[in-house]
Amino acid sequence: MAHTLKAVPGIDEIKAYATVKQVHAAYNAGKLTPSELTERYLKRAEGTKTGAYLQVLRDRAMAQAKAHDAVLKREGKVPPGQPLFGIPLGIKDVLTMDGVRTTCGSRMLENYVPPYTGTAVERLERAGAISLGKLNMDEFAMGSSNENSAFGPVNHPTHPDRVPGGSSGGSGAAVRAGLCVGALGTDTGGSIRLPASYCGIVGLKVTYGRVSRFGLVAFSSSLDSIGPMTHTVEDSARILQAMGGFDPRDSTSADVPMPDFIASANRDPDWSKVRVGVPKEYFIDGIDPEVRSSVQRALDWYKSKGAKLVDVSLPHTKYAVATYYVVAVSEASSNLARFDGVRFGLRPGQGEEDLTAFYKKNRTLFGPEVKRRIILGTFALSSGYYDAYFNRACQVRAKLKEDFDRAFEKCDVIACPVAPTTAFKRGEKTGDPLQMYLMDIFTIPASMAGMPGISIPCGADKDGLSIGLQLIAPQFQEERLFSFGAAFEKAHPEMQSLGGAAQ
Amino acid sequence: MAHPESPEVNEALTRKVADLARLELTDDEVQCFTRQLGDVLAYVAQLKEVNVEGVEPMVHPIPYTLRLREDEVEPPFLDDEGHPKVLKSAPDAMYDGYKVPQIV
Repeated sequence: MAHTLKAVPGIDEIKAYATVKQVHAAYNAGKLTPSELTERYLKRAEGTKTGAYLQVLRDRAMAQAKAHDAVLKREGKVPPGQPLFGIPLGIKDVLTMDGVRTTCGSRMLENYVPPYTGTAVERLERAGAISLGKLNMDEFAMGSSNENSAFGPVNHPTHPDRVPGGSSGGSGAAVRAGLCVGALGTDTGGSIRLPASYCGIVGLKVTYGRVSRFGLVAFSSSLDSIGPMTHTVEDSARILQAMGGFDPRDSTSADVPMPDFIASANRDPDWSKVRVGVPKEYFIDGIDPEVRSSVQRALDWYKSKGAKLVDVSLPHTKYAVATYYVVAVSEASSNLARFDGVRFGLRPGQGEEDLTAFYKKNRTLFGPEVKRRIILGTFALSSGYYDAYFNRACQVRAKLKEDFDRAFEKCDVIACPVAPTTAFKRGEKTGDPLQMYLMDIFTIPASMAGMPGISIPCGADKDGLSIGLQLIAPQFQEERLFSFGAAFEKAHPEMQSLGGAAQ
Repeated sequence: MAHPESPEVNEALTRKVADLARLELTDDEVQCFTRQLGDVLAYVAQLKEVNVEGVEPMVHPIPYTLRLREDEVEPPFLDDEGHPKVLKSAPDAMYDGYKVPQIV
């Protein structure tokens, strides 16, 4: 018997204005102004008990909204070329905005005010988005539960004793709880897809290189990506459309065409040609039976539409977490070397006698998970261990990518769970980092291979907690995720965060 | 001396690595991280099972060539008074530069 998602208290107040389509219809009908909507969202953001926001940018957001009011009054409708006109968004606090404090959830950057706006946010604002504030996260995006923020945890939006997932836990909770229309998150090993799955919303991890990382504080440079977290697949496509594409300011940004993603989200696939790959390594013992049966029902639905289900194998899946925790921590230990108390943040080591003591004292501002990963990464890169750890992990990473390349010869998209369980209880895994790392077992492989993946709600467990379906496509084929994902979403409105309201 | 492929994880190793990373740890942290480092390395040891002979290490997920751009001067980030905006976040600044304690 299928269970239903527990409702977010008070969501009805905002449910009619929770997607771009709804908001733009109201703007065009003259029923709503950008500053009225922004005010409503700001009140919700300021009043929330989820801990999702670290900073609400009331004055900045209202100034943006008033400028939009004038445009709307003059034009009488949403101006074309502004696909996010007057849309209030939340921004994960790892993305820089000119003059806005950016903490990365760390004491280290408690007072850091960057002098520039990163490309993703800049492009969204140019497309008309209004930035409501900065969202809570695991410190430097390291975590799967949002319990590692120096400024307090984020509560799950419907089950306060549970975690919202991490590291983009503030983004996941804020969208689900109706504290913004959409949010930006970042995904290194699952940090968008996992909270999207736990919170019951849509989360997209783009192909590596699809969205510029300029203005994203680096954790693991060969894995980090910026992506949208939204109520609907269409809004996900809309945000990617606005912020994706080549950027000369990021040397790893990919110079590849940007197709019409919004059109793909509204295009029903030719089901007779669709092959959905089902990787046997993702349906193992140890995954929650309710997760398994919900994902299985989603697969059955694709089959009922005429898609062909194909068995595929990703044989190196079981090595993915180990590979990730060598590569990611190694890159992190290198990236986080810059936090030495000279140029950013606080400087508790001011009075120390020599340079080493000065650095060491300044770096006491890192939290335990960050220190743990720096130690592990420094070890993996250190003389005598580099070949056995870092180099070998990079070789296994090549095998993981090869697995996907081979699988995609037989299928167009891979369907599997996002996570082995639904949202777990707060404090349940904090004492055992390895258990926490294993929550990412199904999201890490696509990250390692640079493939895009999306999390879409596909059911609920007996407690009313969301279950996420993950679709993975070949590199730069986000269109398939939008098209196959939106088709599933439209056929299952009762499983989505807004119920039938937005469909 | 331990073979590099199977290090003996002990508190001395944790202290040595922490020193390399310029991290100051409390005794409790050293104890806790040593245990956790051991757990994670034991888990990571399974990578030895994979046959990687002749496999080119993958350090970047998409085809990647370093592009050169034109060497053009762009305006610096200055505040209204003409000072570098980066210094807003400096723990200590002087004469439009970062000020650091004397070290020699």
